[in-house]
Amino acid sequence: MRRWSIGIVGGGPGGLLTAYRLEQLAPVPPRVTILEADTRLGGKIRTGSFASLPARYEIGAAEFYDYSTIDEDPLRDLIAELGLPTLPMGGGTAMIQGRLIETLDDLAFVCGSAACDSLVGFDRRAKAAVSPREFYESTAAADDCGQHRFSHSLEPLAPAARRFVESLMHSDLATEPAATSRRYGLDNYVMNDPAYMRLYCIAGGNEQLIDRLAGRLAATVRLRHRVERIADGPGGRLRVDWQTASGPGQELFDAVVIALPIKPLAGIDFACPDLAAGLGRHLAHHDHPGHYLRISMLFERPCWRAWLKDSYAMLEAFGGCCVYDETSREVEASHGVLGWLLGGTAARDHAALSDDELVGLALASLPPASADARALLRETRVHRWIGAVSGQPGGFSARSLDARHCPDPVGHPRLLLVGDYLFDSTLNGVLDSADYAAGWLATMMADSLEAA
Amino acid sequence: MKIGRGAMDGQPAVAAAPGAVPDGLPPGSRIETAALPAAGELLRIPADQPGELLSTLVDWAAGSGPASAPVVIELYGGLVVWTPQRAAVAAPAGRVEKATGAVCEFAATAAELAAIEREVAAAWQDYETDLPAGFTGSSDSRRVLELEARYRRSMSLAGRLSRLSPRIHLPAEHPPTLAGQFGERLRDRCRLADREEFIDDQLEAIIRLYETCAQRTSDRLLAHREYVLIWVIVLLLAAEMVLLLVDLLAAAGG
Amino acid sequence: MRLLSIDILRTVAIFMMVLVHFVENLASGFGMPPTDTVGSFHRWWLPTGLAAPLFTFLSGVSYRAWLTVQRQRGLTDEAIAKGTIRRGLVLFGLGLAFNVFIWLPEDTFNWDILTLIGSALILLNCVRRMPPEVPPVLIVLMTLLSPALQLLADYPAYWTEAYFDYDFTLADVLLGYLVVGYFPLFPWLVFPVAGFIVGRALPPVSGADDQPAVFRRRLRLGLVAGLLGGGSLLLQGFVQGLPTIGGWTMFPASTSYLLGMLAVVIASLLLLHRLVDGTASAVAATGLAARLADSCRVISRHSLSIYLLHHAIHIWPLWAFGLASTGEPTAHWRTVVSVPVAVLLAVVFCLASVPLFRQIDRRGWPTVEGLLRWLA
Repeated sequence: MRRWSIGIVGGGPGGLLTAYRLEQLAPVPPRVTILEADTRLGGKIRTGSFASLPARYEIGAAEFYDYSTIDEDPLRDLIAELGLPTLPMGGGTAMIQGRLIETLDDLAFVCGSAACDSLVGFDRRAKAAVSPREFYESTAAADDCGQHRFSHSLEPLAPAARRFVESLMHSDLATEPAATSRRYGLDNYVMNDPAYMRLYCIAGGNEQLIDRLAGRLAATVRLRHRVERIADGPGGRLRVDWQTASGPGQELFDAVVIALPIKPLAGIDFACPDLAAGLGRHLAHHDHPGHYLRISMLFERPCWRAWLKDSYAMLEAFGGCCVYDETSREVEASHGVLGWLLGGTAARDHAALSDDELVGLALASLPPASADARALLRETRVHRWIGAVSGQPGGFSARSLDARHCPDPVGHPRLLLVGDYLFDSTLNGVLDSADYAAGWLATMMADSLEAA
Repeated sequence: MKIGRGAMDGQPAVAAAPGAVPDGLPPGSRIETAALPAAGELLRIPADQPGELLSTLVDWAAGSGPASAPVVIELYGGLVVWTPQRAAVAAPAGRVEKATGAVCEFAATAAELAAIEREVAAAWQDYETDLPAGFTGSSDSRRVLELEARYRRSMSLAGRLSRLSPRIHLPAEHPPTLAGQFGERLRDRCRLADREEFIDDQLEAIIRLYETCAQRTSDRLLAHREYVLIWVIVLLLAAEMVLLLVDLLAAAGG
Repeated sequence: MRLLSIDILRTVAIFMMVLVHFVENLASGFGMPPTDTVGSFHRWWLPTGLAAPLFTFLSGVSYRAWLTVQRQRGLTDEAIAKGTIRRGLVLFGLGLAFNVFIWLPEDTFNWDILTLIGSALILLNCVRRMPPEVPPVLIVLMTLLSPALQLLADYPAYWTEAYFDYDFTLADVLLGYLVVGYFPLFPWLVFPVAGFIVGRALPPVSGADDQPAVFRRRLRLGLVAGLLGGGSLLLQGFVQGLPTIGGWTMFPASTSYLLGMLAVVIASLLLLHRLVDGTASAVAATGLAARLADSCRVISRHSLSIYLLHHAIHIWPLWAFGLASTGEPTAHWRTVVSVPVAVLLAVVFCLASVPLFRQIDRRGWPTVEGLLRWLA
């Protein structure tokens, strides 16, 4: 009984989840090798800490999406299975024109009743277009994605209401309304309603998910192994060439799963023309880059609790950004950690600025109630995620799950792709993708066993 | 945040006279008597900084009675201090009407639920007494009428509770409004959903008993009627036999 | 607890019976033609047809009271049944023995009142197990059935000059028991069963503590009595062509007689119960009322003994005189004295029986009732 050797390119959530599911689904335990270019596993899930105080902050994904109120939530189940405690996250207040908007009444007061009515109308249309069930199943109509951009959906809004909505959603979209589909935009709007989805994080840092997953894997992990080329090998196998600090290397695998974002995926050379063509089509379909920029600051004390009472709030600055109170759940903490999440073109355009310039702009975006923030500042961190996410996950036109995951099903059926950009740019999406790929490989293994 | 009497300033609560607006409130404040169920008082205060009135309003609300620990909700620039007998709503002028409406609606819901709870508590007193009838039923017509009346009462309570349920389980409003948030928070703080569930369970047990009593009594009645019918048939058969016998004897004697 | 109303009614019944028997056996009756073959006693001012219905009705009432007491003592159903059947059989046997020793052996199976009451007790053992709705149905059936049975059995053929004359054959004996005798089961069982039903309305006989329910029950019974009386009058008024239904006859007991007597006994008991039973009445009774009440209690307690004794006292001398004077015991039956003398003798007997049985009670001498209690 021959054990398959499977190479997984990418040690982020996609690669780890694929390895985890493979070990669960494969009829015969395969030999899995994870090749990660970076010095750590985890990809976009990363929890950092400051030097001057043992204060944590999220560098990458700050929250998980909880769909369990509608139907099964495999990611939440997995987190529970791994024994990780979670904390709910709430928010939704916005600072517009220097005024705090917490309710529709506040919006009417700040922006006028016309704006309020306009927003209510938009809200109703959005929820009529996307029900909680449809949101859960991400059933995007094929004819919807290509023709209508989300910016069209915003046109009927009164100007003040439109500014409010765009500010609210900018950091969620990671792109501009004109660059994404109507459906994706509406999804990112309705998800603010707890009836559609709730937010949570892992107590003690989201990176614990990566640590627990990695700890349960029997796979071989090779860090600092940058995969540069994938070619055909003898006997229908695939040869993966990589580069390490100590030189190049290669290995033959029965199957290869590439769990990389679009940008590093585009940097791999595929020797076979058919495979390269398939990847080219794949990239053309899915290459809709979204951008994030995260500015995290450590303060002597949290000077924002007068206006930021929950886990996060929205600011008008940077075209709309989300500011996280990273210490909102640590009741006993005397310090405060505040994180700005810029999205879309704001993130891309501001990425060129220096860290200090970005910190200055971020501090200036705080309302007057936090005027003493600069004096209380102790430490800062800036992380740039340019092109790291998809602004139109799944592409503008729907493709079958097989087509998404296998760029060359005829010539290279054992080369699969995994990524959140194939579904919804969320960790839930990457689990769905990993599940699909692992299941497919497990089926192939089972077929080969029967044939043998 | 649930605050007891005088907790804010350490002083015992001063019971304001019914209908009298406490001192220190902004102009435009007024009391509406009988705005709440059971002739409760509603104090409506248009105020831009409601938080500054917290202790005054808590003292006023707590003055409604010794058992009234007020429920205090300060949210989105509004303040509600609530007891079943007195409620104070302070919010900016443009929002105080809607906030007051939400509080009144909540008060009506809470009062109805409390009334149902009291009646269910009274119904339990008869429960133990009526338990034997759940096994044997009853043939005494007066007792049957009594059980029927209790069954009707229980079903009426269940009907009232189910009509109340949509008002207790209102879905969370999004985007949120001040009035919606006040209503939601008040329902949460007063645990209306839990209490409704508890009462529902209790009513289920009570109704099950009386349904069983009805079933037993009906079975008993039917069995009794059957029994009577059987006896009547026996008598008729006996009558027939007597007629035959007499006829035979008369013929034999003749 | 004995109810004074029952004692009074039983005393009235017993004295009526003594009077009627003395007059019928010593004189020629109350002036009816001797050729009246079925003995119609429709003289409203003479309570001559009331004693037997009253007596048999009260036997049912007393059985209900006895039953309640036995149940309160905690006796099992089996023990009650045994006691009832024993009493019934003893009375039945006593009735037959009475016929032999009083009426001479040829009248052994004339089916007099004692055999009726004995049989009624045995039947009531079944009736007590019936649901309360069924005994009234039984009464209705018996009432409806009796004229038909009397017709089938050819009742008049067995009666000659107001005397039940039967052949000593099994068929005649059984027919006499069922239909044609002095007090056959059909329809005379109606009275004990009715008494058993009515007894439920008399606390503590009924055992009912609830005054409103008891009041409603009595009201219903009163209405029933009224309906029965009305029914009797209607039958008499509109069914005259059928004597067994519309006539007022005791032998055979016509339907209108049955209904009328039921109405009278039920109404009498209810009214008397309302008037004399109850604490206030008992406490208020002083002087003559108290002595009369006490006398009624004595007579009622010894009604069976009085029944047997009064027969012995007036029949045996009659037989002895007839035997001595003509060699035929029945030679002077119905002709030995005039009606006023017979009435006087009956009154003397009634008056003498009170101190006699008081004395018997005081000295503890054995009585038939005592024998009955010992046996059953």
